[in-house]
Amino acid sequence: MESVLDIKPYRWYIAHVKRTFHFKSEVVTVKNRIEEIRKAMGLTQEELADRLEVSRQTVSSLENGRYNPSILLAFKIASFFCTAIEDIFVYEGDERDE
Amino acid sequence: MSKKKGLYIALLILGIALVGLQVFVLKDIGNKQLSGICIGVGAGLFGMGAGQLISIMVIEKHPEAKRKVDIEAKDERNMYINDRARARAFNAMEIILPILALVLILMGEPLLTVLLVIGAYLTGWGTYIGYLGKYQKEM
Repeated sequence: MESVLDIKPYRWYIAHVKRTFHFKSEVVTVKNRIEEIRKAMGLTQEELADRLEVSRQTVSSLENGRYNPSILLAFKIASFFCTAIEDIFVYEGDERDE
Repeated sequence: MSKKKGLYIALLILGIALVGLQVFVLKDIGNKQLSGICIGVGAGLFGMGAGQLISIMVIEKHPEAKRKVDIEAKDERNMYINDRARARAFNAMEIILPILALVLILMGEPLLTVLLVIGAYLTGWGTYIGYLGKYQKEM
């Protein structure tokens, strides 16, 4: 027997509630070599953040792969390290593509 | 003096004036609603003006702290996090407001109260659709 919850508007509403209150991470990040290059240059996260004019947490999140920078910040990082973007950020495909 | 500082001084004075108006004028008239509004808005403006002025004065004395505060405010990750949290909050309001309207109807509240809640809900959607159109054109 069809339940009250199977009626279309209710289904939409329940799907919306699920979308709103879920806590699963949706972020797919690219790998990067920021930590490696920063350490080779002898800089701390704080110093790098100061030069890039971002917060230290942003540098930490970038290094841990929890956050993808905007294209502007990616260019800024590449310019600061005097290298190309693709030498720092490595795209290995989206897991959801597989 | 910066424009911001001037604005907060004006708000501070307006807050004091509103509280003064209640204490010296409206208290004797006995209009409770107007008195309440004057005290509430006046105290709010005073608190906001004073708080902002103190923070501006502290920041002016410490330029390095100002730079750090600016970096934190303009940091793209912070802005991204803020935007995502706000988007989730809007989604939550979309869920909460219709339930609230339904509860108010079941409680037998006056139609005007229910219509105000529905108006708030539709205003949220109107703003959302307006900005969708604006950003579609911009990007």
